[in-house]
Order: sequence, then structure tokens, then C-alpha cells
Amino acid sequence: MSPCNFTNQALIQDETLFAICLVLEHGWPAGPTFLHALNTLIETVVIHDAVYFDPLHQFRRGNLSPNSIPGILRNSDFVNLLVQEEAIREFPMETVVDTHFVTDGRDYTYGRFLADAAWSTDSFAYSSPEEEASRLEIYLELVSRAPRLLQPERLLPPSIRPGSEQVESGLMVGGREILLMMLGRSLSLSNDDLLTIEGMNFRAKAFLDLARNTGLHLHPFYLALPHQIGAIHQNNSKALELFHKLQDKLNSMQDQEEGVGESGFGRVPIPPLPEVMFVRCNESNDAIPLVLLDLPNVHRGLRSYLMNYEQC
Amino acid sequence: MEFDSALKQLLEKETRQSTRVIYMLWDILKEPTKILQALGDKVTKRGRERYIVGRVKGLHDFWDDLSNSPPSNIMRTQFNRLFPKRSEDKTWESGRKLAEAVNAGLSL
Repeated sequence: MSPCNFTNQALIQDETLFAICLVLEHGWPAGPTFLHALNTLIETVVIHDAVYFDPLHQFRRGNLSPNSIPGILRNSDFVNLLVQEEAIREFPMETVVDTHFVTDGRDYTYGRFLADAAWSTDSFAYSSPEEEASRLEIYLELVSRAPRLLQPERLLPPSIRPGSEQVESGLMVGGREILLMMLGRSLSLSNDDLLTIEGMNFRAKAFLDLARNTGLHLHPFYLALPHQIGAIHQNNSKALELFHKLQDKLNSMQDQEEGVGESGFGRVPIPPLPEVMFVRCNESNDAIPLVLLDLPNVHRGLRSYLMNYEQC
Repeated sequence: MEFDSALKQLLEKETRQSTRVIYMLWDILKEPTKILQALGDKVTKRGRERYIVGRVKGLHDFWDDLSNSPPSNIMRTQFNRLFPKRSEDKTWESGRKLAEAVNAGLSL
């Protein structure tokens, strides 16, 4: 019996809480990334039975800078209230999660999550309000012109990666990394830019794999979304390649495939939760924490229904 | 069908519908859990070691948030009252354009 039951539970990225804290508690202007973060938090808290954050277990580490993301969250009244009222919860410890993977027959460990998440120490968040527009514009360029660069794979060949040693191995045959690097060059991206993007791609993969193996619903930060979609496409491509080899013997699964499509996406209606919350706040953003904590009670029926639906 | 009916009833009580993005995440398992056992039975009999199943997952609908930026109608009024200090229009426009580009690549 697994020690965890992740049915109808969600995982959010710390950047989501960080973006909200900066506006509510640090005077930053409210922009599209904040709006998306706030709406993500509202929806997850209302729809899911539990919402986890801090999968890297940094929230309680007092030795991290107060200006870092975990430092800001640790010192936030808003976040501490949500934790205290169990609207959000710290991610279970490594031993608990690993036991769950073993019990569930998963070929995955928490250590693998850490390895991918630590590919780079860059977060998805921006460091100043002025940087938000620049980040959005860079992602627009990448998504429109080079979505291949947003999938979790190495974007630079080994010969020019930092720290690589030149060995006399003769001429090497260029692989996918050469093509991806050339694609990056066509967008005027430097090696450092490509390494930053690569790190974020693997960070997105880390979250997707963790969510997939636990069964959690992953709700990414807005600026992580392009990387997340790249990771979903790559995951599904690999799985479907194997699936198609077995397809003749897996007729019973075809109904599922018709549900959303191979790697496609769809939309389902839900109540307009952000609007409901904004109206209830009665023009005072000081009311946001308490209204947010009350909303799950108002929509208990919806959550209960989704819980039963997912268990079936 | 029961789910659709219940959701429809719930939504009729609301003034405006919102949406949620869902996607199928394909999963390769070494050992199916009991829940998945029935699904994998046919393969089990044939001695397969791995199983591929799909799970529907949900995302907050970023497009619904940002398709009209800054937020429009009721949302805009309420949002502006709650957050009088807002990013420049240029930032909102960039957010909307990115949402449009991501949305176009989702093959909905």
C-alpha cells in the first residue's frame, strides 16, 4: 500500500507563489504573469484536494538568501497563511515519495527529479518588473520560430560545452546538437543563452516526470509553460512510438486515445473562479488570502465530483 | 455523460463560463497498478513487460486569461480595482501575443 494518495491533487511551481508575493507584498506592478499565477493558484486550490509546492524542499532552509525564491516565500505572510491553513502543502519528503514509486511499480526516483531539476540553477522567474516584457518577447520568438529548442535535450555539441576537454578523437560526426545549435544561431542566441534554455527545458522535464510518476496534476508557472509543452510533446512522442508498435494488441486502450488525441490538447468548461474571487474581494486586495481560503468550501461539490471522477 | 451533466448544471449557475486546458499524457509503466491491471490484462497474457496508458491532465487555461489583455469586461473592472498598480500596456500585449503563439501550437 502506497504511503501517498495523489488522486485529484496538484503540484505548483514555487515561481507561481513568488510572482504573487511580489505584487501583494513587495509593490511590484500586476502584469500578465502575475494574473496567470493568481488564477492558477485560485483554480488549483478550489479544484484539487491538496496542492503541493516546494518539491526541492528549500522552503524551510533558513540558510538560503532572503532574496532568493525560497527566501521570499519563507518570509511571506501570504504563503505562511496558506501553509498554516493547508491550502498549500510542502511536497512530501524523499523517503515517502520513493516508497510510493516502489509500491506503484514506477521506474523512477526522487533523485532523478533532483538531477533534472538541478540541470541549471536558473528559475523561470524574472528579476525585475521591467524584465517581464523582455522575457515574454523572447519566448514569443522561441515558440513561434524554434519550438524545437524548447524540448529537453542537449542544445550544444559536447565539443563546445563548458568544461569539455579537447581530446584527439578525430573528426566527430555532428548529431542533433549541431542542428539545434545552428537553429539557435539563426535566432542570434549565444552558447550561454542556449545553455540557459537547456537548463530550463530539463527543469520543466523534471517537474513533468515527477507529476507523471506521482499522478499529480502539474500547473506550471506561465513562463515555464513553453518548456512544459516541449516536455509533454517529447514525452508523448517517446511513449507513442512504443505504443504504435504494440497497437494491434492494445485495442482496449484505443478509446482513451480518442479522448484528447495523441499529443493534443483540449479544453473543458469550469466555473469562472478568478472572477468569483475578485468580486468577493470587494475591491480590497488585502482580502485575497481569506477569500482564497474560503473558495474551496464554496465549491466543495465540484471538487468532490472531480475526486470521484478521477478515482473511477 | 454523468460528469458532463453535473458540470453543465454547475456552470448554468455561473454568469460566464471559463475553461481549462486538458491534455493526454502518455505513460510507460513497467508494472501496472491494480487500477491499471484490467487495462493491461491483454498484454500481460502475452508476456509484455511494459505498458502504455494515457492519463488526462489539466492545466490552468493561460489563453483564457490572456486572450484579451489587459483583462476585459467584468474581469478587467474587478482586476483594476484590486490592483491599481499595473504593468505597462506593452507588457500585457507581449503576454497576449505569447499566449496566442503557444495556443496556436497546441493543436486544439
